[in-house]
Amino acid sequence: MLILIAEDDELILKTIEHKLLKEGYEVIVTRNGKDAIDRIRDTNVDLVISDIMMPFASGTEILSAIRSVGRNIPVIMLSSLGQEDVVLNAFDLGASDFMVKPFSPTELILRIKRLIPK
Amino acid sequence: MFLYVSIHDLFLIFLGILFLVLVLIGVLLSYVLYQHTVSRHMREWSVMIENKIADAIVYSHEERSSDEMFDLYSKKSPFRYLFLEKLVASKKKFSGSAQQTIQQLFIDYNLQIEALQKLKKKKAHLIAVGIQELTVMEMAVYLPQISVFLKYPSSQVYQEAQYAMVVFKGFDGLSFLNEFSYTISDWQQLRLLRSLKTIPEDSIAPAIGWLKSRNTSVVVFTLRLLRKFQVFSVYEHVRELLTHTSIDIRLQAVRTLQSLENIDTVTHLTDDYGNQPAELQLQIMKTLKRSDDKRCCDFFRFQLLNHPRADVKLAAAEALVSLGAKDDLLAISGDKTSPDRLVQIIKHALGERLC
Repeated sequence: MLILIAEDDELILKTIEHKLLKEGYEVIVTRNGKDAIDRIRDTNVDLVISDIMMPFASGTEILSAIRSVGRNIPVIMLSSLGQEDVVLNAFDLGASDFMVKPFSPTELILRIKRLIPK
Repeated sequence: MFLYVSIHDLFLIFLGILFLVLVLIGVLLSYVLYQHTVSRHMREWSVMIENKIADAIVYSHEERSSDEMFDLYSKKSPFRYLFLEKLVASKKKFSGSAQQTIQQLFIDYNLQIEALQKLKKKKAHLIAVGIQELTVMEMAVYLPQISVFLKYPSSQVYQEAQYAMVVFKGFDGLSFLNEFSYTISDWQQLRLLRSLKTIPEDSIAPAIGWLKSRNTSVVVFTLRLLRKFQVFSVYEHVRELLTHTSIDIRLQAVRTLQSLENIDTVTHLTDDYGNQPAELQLQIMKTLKRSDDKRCCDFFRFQLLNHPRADVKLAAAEALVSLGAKDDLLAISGDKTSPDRLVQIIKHALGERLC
């Protein structure tokens, strides 16, 4: 199972990456939205975890790019408190799930397992 | 005599200036090199610390291999300050067991030493950061050291100390209000209110005391607190504040009475209405409108027809629309004896409602 993480916060990125690797997933890390869109286009990822606010392209733009080419990859959005309107917009665009920061990495793994059972 | 300077002297002066310029360039280059080295270290240390935190969150103590390099650096003061800063920032990013792990790293590496050192600094922002670090890391054991700063002259410092008291002690942490003479900013009031999850049943006595404070911001904060926790038993004490000298307090009192509303609130507010300035009268209008009580129709009608101010008339007309007295308003506006200004106000109120 290949999971792409799009996150510009280095600590959150590393924690999710290490957690996924420990759980036996393969991981691609990207630190900005544009890079994430390029990598998703070039690879067959099984799931995307994306922060909403990111440089060059936001999480919702990544989501739009995925859905515009008809790909049905599950996408988990990470948002900060007070971004309710952005979260609702993300659900309209087809986000599968979202988590509000501060978040629990253990809970994130549970949500991933629900979306892509091994 | 100054005009007769030999070429030899000029050459010496030139050499002197050149030497000074070279020394200056040398100092500048050393500084740039030092800064570069520091920022390179900071970058390397940041990566090292982030890996340490991420590993600690993901792997159990037994699964982690010992990191001698990290332990070596963790004895250096600049590294420890950066580690502390990163830990505090990271605790705000995670929830659940990850937060506990971060706090355990703080304890394992004795980083309270650095946080406590900041409390001894003279610069206010450093003291504030020290208090914040101890608060985020839930070091309630250092409350005595933090409480010293409740009367510190810098708002940055006393606000952090107040917040720490409330985070650690809940409602009891508000005891600083008993003798607090500085202003509590709106932002700080909201911050304190947000951190309070519950208040005990015996909270009424101190709250009544704060309502009598000479510090306007303490009274305003207490009124907000009573609203948030719906302390109905203080209703009469809040009502007494409608005659307070401060308009701000009276405004908050009206809002609080609305929140603690009982069957007599409408009567209390309409009785007191005539004693208040226009600003308060408008607030009372809004409160009565929200009460949705048909008994207010006569009151609003009287204000619409007799109050000298257009904004109060408009508020009365809007309240009547809200209470379903549209036909009354149409009758008044249709009456040929009604002044043009009154008709315009009514049409405006009806128009807004229709939109």
